[in-house]
Amino acid sequence: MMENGPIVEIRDYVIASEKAGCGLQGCSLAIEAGQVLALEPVDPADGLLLLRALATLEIPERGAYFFMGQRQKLADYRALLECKRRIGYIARDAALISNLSLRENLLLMRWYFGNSFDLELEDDELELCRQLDLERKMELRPSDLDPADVQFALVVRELSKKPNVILMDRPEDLVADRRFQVLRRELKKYILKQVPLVFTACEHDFFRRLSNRRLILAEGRLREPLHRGQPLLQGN
Amino acid sequence: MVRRIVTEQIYFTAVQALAVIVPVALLTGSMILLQVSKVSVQYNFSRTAIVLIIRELGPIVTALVVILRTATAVTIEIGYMRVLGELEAIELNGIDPMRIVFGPRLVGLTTALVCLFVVFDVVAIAGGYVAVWMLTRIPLDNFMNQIIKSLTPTDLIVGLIKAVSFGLVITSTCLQRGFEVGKRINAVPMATSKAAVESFLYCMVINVFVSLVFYI
Repeated sequence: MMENGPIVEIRDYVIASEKAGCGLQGCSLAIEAGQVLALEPVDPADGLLLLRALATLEIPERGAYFFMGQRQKLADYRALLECKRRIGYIARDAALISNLSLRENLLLMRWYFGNSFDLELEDDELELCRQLDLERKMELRPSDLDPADVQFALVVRELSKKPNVILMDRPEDLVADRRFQVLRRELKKYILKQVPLVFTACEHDFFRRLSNRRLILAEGRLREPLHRGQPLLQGN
Repeated sequence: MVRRIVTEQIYFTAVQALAVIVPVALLTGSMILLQVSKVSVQYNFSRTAIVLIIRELGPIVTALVVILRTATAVTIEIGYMRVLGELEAIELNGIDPMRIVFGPRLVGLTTALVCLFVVFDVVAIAGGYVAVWMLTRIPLDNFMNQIIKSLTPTDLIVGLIKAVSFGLVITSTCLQRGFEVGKRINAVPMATSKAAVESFLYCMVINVFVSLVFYI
């Protein structure tokens, strides 16, 4: 991982909102190693849009995208695949592939890049699946899983990529689930490794306390709040 | 991995479609050869059969079966993948969807269509022989000699060119229509209908064009 400079940076991003929200109206954001950034969007749709933009899933009308200091060609989707592979994106619009079993979904990347179907999940991934109660559901298709299982499966898939940055949409939705503690513990491991975490938080104060940086997204622009949150590892 | 997806597509499009293509070919072949045998006094029986089955009906009927059975399924599959964000999920794994979704379907479906075309021709001629035999008691070797004598390399090449072109155009149309669905789930049925109709129309146009190029 690059020690200096932002891991992901967007400059002057303009994306019109197709549905709800204001879209992004000239957003600039640099995410550096060790940051735990809480985005507090006035409109949740804008928060998700910003996360999608950071994950290169949205192409802006104007703006520049930098990954590990390199400017990316946004018009060339193939060039963005390497960035996508190194970004953990856990959001309500993220999906598993419906005609593959959970196990196949988790192994897809390894099978493809290893060019072999003999490859299996690593021990730490299997352990995470076991802790998240997914182990006995590995042969099920996503449609047979409940929505919370799908979200936790996405967590396993994205974390198994060993991402350089983790983007998470409204993790507070998972707080009520008893498996949330496992998720929190896993995220902490990454934070301790200085992997930046960006998440949107709309309701729960808990997440505001988790962050070491907070930004408010209002009317398509980012601004600093009046009070900063406490650092993650002190607040817990 | 890509090879396995191609193989699965061929299995789904060709092997599973045999249960449809074989009876269709038998019925078509027997019907055509029966009709031709009645007017064979005026026309060269085997030559007419070749023209009708291998050059014209074989590719187009095979294409129709593939459109009805597989092309619609591919459009729906791609449409749903787009709506549900599954193509994005593939990209998030750093994998190019062209390599594991679009490419294998293009290769698999085209290969399957060529294989089905060959099966159709063989079964249609066999079915035709049975029908003709019931009327005329023509010996098999006599019948086969006539067919082989009438068959020119051009007939086979034209049939194969048509089958390959149909496979490419059907897959491209279905993939494009499925991809255009965007995030609107209600667009999937319309896209499927459009894909099927357009695929058939394009196949008819190609059929006429290839025939004009080679035979006129």
